Amino acid sequence: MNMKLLLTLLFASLTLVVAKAQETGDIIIRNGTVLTITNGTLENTDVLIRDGKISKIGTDLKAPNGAKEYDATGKFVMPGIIDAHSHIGIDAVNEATSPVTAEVFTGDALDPLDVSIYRALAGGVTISHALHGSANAIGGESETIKHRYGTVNPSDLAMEGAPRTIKFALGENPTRVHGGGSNIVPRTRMGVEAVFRNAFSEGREYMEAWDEYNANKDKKGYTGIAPEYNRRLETIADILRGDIIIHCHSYRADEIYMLMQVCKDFGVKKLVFQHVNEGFKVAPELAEFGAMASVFSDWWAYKFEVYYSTAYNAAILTRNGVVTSINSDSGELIRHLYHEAAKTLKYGDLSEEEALKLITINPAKQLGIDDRVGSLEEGKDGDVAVFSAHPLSIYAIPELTVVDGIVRFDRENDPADMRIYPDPEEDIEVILSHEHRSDRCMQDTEFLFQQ
Amino acid sequence: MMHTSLRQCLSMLLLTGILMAGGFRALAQDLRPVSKSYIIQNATVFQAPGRSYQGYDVLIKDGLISAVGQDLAVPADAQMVEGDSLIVYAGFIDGLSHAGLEEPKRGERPNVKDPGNPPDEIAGITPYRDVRELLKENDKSVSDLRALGFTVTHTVPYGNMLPGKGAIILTGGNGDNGLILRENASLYSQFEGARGVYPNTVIGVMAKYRELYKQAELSKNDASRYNSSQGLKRPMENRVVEAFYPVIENTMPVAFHAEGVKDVYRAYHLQEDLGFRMILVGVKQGWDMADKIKSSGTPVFLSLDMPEWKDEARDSTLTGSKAKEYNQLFDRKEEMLKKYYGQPALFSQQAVPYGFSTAGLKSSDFRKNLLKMKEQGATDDQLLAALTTSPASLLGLSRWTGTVEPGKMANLVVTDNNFFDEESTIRYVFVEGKKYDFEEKKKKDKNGEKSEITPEGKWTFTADPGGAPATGTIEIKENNGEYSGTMNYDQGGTSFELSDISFSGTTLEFSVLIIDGGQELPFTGTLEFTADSYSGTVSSPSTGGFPISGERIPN
Repeated sequence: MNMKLLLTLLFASLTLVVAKAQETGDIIIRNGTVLTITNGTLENTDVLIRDGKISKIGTDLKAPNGAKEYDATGKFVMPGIIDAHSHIGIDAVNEATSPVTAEVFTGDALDPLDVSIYRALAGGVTISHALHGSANAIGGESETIKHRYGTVNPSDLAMEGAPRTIKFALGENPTRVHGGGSNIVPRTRMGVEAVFRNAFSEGREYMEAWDEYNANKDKKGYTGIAPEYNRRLETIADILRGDIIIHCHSYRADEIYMLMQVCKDFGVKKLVFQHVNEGFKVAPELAEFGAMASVFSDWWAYKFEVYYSTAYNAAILTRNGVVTSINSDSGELIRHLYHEAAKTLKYGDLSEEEALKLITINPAKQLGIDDRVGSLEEGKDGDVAVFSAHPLSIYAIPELTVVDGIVRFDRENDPADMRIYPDPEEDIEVILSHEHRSDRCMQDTEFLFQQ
Repeated sequence: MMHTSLRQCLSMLLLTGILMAGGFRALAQDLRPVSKSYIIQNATVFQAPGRSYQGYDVLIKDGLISAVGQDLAVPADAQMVEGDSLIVYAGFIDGLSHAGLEEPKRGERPNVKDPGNPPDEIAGITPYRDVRELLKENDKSVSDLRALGFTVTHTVPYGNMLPGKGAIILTGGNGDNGLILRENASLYSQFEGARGVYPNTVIGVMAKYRELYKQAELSKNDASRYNSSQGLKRPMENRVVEAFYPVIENTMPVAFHAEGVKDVYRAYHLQEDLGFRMILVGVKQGWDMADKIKSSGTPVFLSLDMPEWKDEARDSTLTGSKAKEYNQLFDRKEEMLKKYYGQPALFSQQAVPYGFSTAGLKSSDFRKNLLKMKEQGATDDQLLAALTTSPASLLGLSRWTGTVEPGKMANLVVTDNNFFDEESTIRYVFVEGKKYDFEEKKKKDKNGEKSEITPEGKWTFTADPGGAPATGTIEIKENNGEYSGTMNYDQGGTSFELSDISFSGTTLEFSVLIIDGGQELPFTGTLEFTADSYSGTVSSPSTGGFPISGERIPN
């Protein structure tokens, strides 16, 4: 086939992907070793996905007309990997201008053109939590995205029906940005606690004012007017109502304990700690509160508050009954979360199933989507990753990634250039470049540190 | 010594200038035209896209087109414009510009105590600002737009998230009725965050937009309750929120500036959540959204500010896998450029009505970009429609302008060749019946070859304020449409940088600040060029105008 024809075909297939973005698909994945996560390992088993949902798991299944067939003989089939902490697929990470920005939402900045989404798919990852950054004590609401790479419509990425989540942050980042950068509260860890308590108190007053107004506005002779509408306090009131899951950037045990006390005082129960490097010190307390933990496998010492760490963190938390996940916080790490999970077999002797839970059903629980994804069960979303060997083996290669029954990555058909809208003015040079920084947690705050 | 002679010269100049100022000022002013009636005779007239007639006359009276047809009777007061071989189009209509406004300089990052709570001005939230209060009719940006053939533009304030309210204006005219065709034409909105303060990013802007809109809905409701009852708590007065009232009442649309595909979707996202009427302006990447734009009925203006399409030769020295990768990347880049330039053709094909917007456009790229769009499949009629009838209809102006028909405003573009062909120059632009002349740009030189009149090069000058003439040289350089220049005085050997240089047709305009002995004299000059000489006037507020002329110094 000549080059022109090949390229024409490539463009044709890309156009097709763009057009089909919101659709769901039918596919049968045959004869694989199926790691269900919640129902053991099934040998020589078929997984049938119809209209984007897992309709049947069994042997010798009959495929409906038009369904894609994929032969997984000798391969391993697992639920799509879920990353509970990522910043891929968004144009803005931090609205770093205020210590509390509960009103902003990363779902407003979704970037379907980010090729990192395709790279994540190439690592079997089908869902990531597009978190706001950690510049503010209370950052923004964050979108849970499905990796439907190929669309240009930002909304197509959003996982419809996923619960609301919001980013909180402790320690050095918020104190450095606001105390150090703008000379306002919080300058210290005490200040961060004060910011939380003030915000929750204001949110409670706001909620009460609106409740009073709504209860009386239609009564005869009512002389009040609507309280001033404030999206920041609306969101905080929704946290107090239990409608939003907090995901808090954290390292030190004392602060982790502090936030649990604050939440107890205000009756807030949905709490997930992110990074939580010193989680192993307060694991029983986390379990008692019902807080969950999303950790790195073995990444630390990149700033002062992150020195006291251990690769046994995930295992200790798990053994203490804390729902634990392993996350990437990186456009590169996200591509091999299965390696990250595998490390817990060595550091802490977790079982294979426990290790796989760290990147499937557990992050799903932390995002409140475990009724829909995170395991291979009939009725759940058709999000599947197929590996050439057991995904915890260092020899495993991701072969196929399916989202809602649609193949979004296929190693057999993996074009070199998967960008959707390349820059029409780029200088073309065939060289290696480092376009992606690994850590976007502090993106959009750089201006605060310029003299 | 040298300085003394220069000072003498300048003092003389100043003195004579003051003495003569009155007289020169009178001369410098535009004289009222003898008549405001014109007849363009025997031209090819494009009444509307796809409807052209040869040998037609166009009669203009009182700012209106009073008749179009063959062999029209010539009224006694009509000035005649020979139309033989000329082509008449309706004046172009522009969906977004900052015409008549001074571009703000990017200053220091504002020093705000609490960046989370900046004053509205610094936050870029000034929806109450009315572009009419900022408008300078004589700003160069207005005449620049006119020189491209645009007679009507939707001008909006510069700024960030909510810069203010736009207006639809004429780019000239007799000024009897002012430039404004429609005030409060739009609430101009962008996803542009404020520098270093809230809202700084797109997530901040989206959140703030939703908050302001909801606040406006609530406060509008409270205000009407307060106005019709007694004993109510008084609602807070807030001009930011009040600026949204006409949008909520549906009497004013939001003009959303959205260039990339993601921003266009985000604008729709807000629009669908909040329910306002929307116009999309400055759209660059809309080709995957044609269906949505069409089905939503949103008026859309595609940006004329296009990515540069260089005629690059491919690197043929590469071999093997490098060559393969290089060529693939090159192909994809070209594919993207085709998407951008093929967008008008695509929209026309899919019957999505669209206009163009000039904001961000470099004047010298206007026709170049149109010709590229034509190369990518757009027809002359489609492009003409996008410049005339479509924007007229999208902006609700069809009753008054957009075609060359009796009863319409006399907004016309007259060219010497088909406007959408390589060789074409605008000869006249009429704005509400006022005629603007553009000299023939190209002329044949002695060898019979075409040579362009350009101010580039070295020229002598003799400026005569009425005493001892000042002499020297002027050097003008051009780089990508940007001009720079210096003025070197023989007297004193001093040189001064020219600034604000613009060249249009055969006319060069510039400013220069002459500094001598602590005295600063700001001069402006207007020079008319031929191939090898020029003449014109320079003037300053204290001297008035006096003549200047010179000749090209051959290389």
